[in-house]
Amino acid sequence: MPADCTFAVIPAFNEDRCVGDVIRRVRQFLPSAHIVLVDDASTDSTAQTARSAGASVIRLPVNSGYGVALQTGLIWAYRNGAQTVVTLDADGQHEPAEIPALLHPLSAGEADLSLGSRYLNHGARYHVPFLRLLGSRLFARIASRLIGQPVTDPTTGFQAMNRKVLDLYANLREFPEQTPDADLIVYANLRRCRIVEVPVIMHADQGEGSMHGAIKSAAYVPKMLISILSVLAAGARKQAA
Amino acid sequence: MLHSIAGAAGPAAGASVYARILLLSTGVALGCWSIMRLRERHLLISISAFFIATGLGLVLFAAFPDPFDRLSFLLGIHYPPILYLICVVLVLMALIVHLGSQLSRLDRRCVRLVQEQAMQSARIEVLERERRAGSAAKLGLVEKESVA
Repeated sequence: MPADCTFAVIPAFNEDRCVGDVIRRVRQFLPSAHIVLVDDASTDSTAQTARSAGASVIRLPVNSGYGVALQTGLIWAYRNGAQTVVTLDADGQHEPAEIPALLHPLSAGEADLSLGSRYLNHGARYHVPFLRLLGSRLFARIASRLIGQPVTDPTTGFQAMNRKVLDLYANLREFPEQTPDADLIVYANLRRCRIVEVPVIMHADQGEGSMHGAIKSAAYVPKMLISILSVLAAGARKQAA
Repeated sequence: MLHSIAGAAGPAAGASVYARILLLSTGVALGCWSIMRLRERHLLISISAFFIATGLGLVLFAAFPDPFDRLSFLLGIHYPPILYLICVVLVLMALIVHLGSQLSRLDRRCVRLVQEQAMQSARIEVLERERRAGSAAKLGLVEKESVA
């Protein structure tokens, strides 16, 4: 295992067009980090592309969802002694040049979890679909109210965490399988982790068609509400224990 | 003959003789099927116990329908089939809740297995790479020694 205890965890599903560039750019900003790509049973050559770009690949045998892929990468990092973990998407939406800014609050000891926000300061620099924006705003309000500090982008997958948060997430039995967003922020806060938001630049993602996207966005709201209730219950149970 | 038996049972019996025969054969078939599946280990003990109990309930109901009707009147339900329906709905709901929780547990276990299997494969890949690198380095050392 590498001497540097920083890991970059990248969950991916059918991203062979972008993943090579993403890994090379991450390597540019984290030269000695261990880059782990979790391939969620892609049907294209995502795994091979990632391997040839220099990442370690964990390949899930069946398509299991974003949350399962993400937690697999976090468990791997945790078991291999990671002290700091950066998570980002494989579709090129998250700008690797922002990684140092994201890591800064952790290295300065100001936070345990650093969230990259596309809305902080200047707002998103691309067109965000209306339903997605609505869902994001709704859960930003809920998360802000629950954790007692403003959160502008609760759906961000561009995050950096230290060992304390990594321990929580890697060992969370109720880790959300599909939507690890506001629910995990609430959980981290409930377990007394310090959270900060860092303004980052994000690019437009190559999402699905509008109809599929609309159905997903509509289904996201009840799923996330139930997931928040579930992590609140898990957090309360662990606090009681 | 069946009609005469039905007549002998009278209206208090509630179910017609055809219905009772149907219930009896369904109950016996369900019980036998469950036991056969259990013998071949194609059915979990808890699930087959549920089916056997249901089959037994159907057989008892076919043999003695009167107590159920009386129970219905005791509960203030003057049309016994309503009580049957309520019982069926309750049993089905209990079954759905039970299967839902079993499914969630199984799903969680599958996720865990998938994660562990994926990480073990990645670990093996890392070890293989290290072994290959190690044997290549060793080979290089041997070649240097022989040249020296």
